[in-house]
Amino acid sequence: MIGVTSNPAKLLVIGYGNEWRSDDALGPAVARRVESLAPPNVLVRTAHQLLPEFAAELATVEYAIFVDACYETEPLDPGSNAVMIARLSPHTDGSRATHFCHPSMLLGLAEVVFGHAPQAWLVSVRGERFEHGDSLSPRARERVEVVAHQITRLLHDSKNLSEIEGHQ
Amino acid sequence: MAKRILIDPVTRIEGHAKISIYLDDADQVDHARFHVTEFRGFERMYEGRPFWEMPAITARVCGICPVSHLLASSRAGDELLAVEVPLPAKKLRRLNNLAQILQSHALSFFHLSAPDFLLGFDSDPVRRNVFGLIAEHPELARSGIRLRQFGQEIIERLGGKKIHPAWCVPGGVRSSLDDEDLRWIRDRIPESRDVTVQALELFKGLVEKFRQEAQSFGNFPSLHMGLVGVGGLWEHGEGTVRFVDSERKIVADGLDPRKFFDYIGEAVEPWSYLKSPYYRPLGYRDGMYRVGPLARLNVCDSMGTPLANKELDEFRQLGAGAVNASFFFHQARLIEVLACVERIEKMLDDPDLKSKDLRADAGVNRLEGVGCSEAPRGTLFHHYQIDENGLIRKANLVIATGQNNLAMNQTVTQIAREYISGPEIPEGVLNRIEAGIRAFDPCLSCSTHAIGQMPLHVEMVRSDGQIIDERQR
Repeated sequence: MIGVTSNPAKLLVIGYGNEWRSDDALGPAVARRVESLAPPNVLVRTAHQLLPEFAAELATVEYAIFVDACYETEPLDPGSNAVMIARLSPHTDGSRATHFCHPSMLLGLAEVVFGHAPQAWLVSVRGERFEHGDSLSPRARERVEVVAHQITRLLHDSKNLSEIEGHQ
Repeated sequence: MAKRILIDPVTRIEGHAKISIYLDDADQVDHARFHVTEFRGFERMYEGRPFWEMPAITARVCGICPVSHLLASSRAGDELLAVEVPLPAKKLRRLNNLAQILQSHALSFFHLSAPDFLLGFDSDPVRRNVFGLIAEHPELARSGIRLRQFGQEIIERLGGKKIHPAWCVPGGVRSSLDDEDLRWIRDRIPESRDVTVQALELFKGLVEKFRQEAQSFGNFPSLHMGLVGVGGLWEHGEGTVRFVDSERKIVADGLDPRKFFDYIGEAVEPWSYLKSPYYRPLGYRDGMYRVGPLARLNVCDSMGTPLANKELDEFRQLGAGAVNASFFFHQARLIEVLACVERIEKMLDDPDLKSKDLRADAGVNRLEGVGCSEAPRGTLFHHYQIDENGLIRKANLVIATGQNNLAMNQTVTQIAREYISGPEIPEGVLNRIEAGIRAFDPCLSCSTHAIGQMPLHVEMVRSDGQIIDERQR
């Protein structure tokens, strides 16, 4: 299989975002925290943006979790959800393809080019501010810890992954 | 009454742009504009930062060409330290840049532009993309991904990360390669070379089919600018700046890139966040010049490697003097990939690539420094002014894509005039206009340092403000 090397890891976590855009760094921050907590069979990657070559590594694992910041204009009600988890399917609609790939498009590339796409989920963590800046907001920092621990608990038993979806 | 057609956003480029086409009362194209809608606002992040952090900071402007910023920024830092970078470090930096150019051009050609050539400009946009390419030409698509992986892997072996490797620093680099790295790279040279040669033959075979596009995609006289090495050799890192005109006559040569502000001015237009650099002696507008693969092949006298030189000789036949048709950016890109593969292969036996003499240390010795590098898209300048403590007082980045701004605008106008006549706008025409921009492979995020995508749509608007047509992309 093209570009695929033998890899014992079953799980891949990819956190992405611009780390000089304040809470857009949530994705990489969560991924790094997961890396410090996760079992050894979990691969963790951080990236400024998703690029086509990630498809090669996706094709080698059984499960993948993407982590990204999300932007909402509505105020967050107390007790309501700042994290959303959505199951992803491989998409082969590249009509808006740029250097940047959506996770579903990466899964599509993994499937058609390398013959396999993992089961995958997108964890969207709400950010509070996205102006130029190199630090997370206080709320974003709190969410990093919460989300990273949630993901790590799921990763310890991959059977749990099939059941997750929705707001957290 | 005048009408305006909008293409918003332009697909398959990096960043955000829209194209406005203004029609006259006879529904003929009057003029067109390429608007960059991303706001450039990164500069304030630099102020007060230590200059030695600038490589890591500027590399995060964009996820596509971080190595280019790392190199230009580190070179500016070298100037501020006033050090002589050890020769092994210079060679490793050059290897890094060759890999960067190779992988970036591979993505541009195989992933973003090849769908137009191989599936046709008039084909269904739902299929005219990388997935359509994979379905119709699976081996070509896979080869392109492998070629890009080759470049990315070299970058990762040098810097430890594919994107934003903090390996290149003022004074040198942090690490070198080992025997296993060199073996890995050497093993992949034959396939990378073969894929590139095949892609070149494929493209050259298609040129006759796209004769009209080749003639109308940004085919106009302009200056071309790039670095050249000793004897006019194709250069991507250290060298002097050369300008040639549309007949390939040298306009200026041996210019010091560290004094770029003496010969490059920057203008601002109200309808775009992208600045418009120009060659000062000829003034704004007349001083329009192009940078990047097309320009680099026009300014150089030789590629320095056998297969790439053979391709360059053939390439020269495409123009009387310089090759001025921007359509041939694509061919120039592939020739540069071939040169990168050949040059990387030549470097692999050099023991300096494993050296531990990698960095010169010093304190602040100058308060102003400029670093220059040939990024995949063209010449990149980083200009820093610091205080005695090494903190940035002012920083200016002159980005490759910005230097092509005037040319991109002229390209859009030319294509629109060639293909639009009357109120009906077929899909293929809109894509040709976008494809004209894509030939430049612009990086608008880099040029304006912006964040991710915004929802946008296409409008055709009368001059009285009435929307007469609308498209979603």
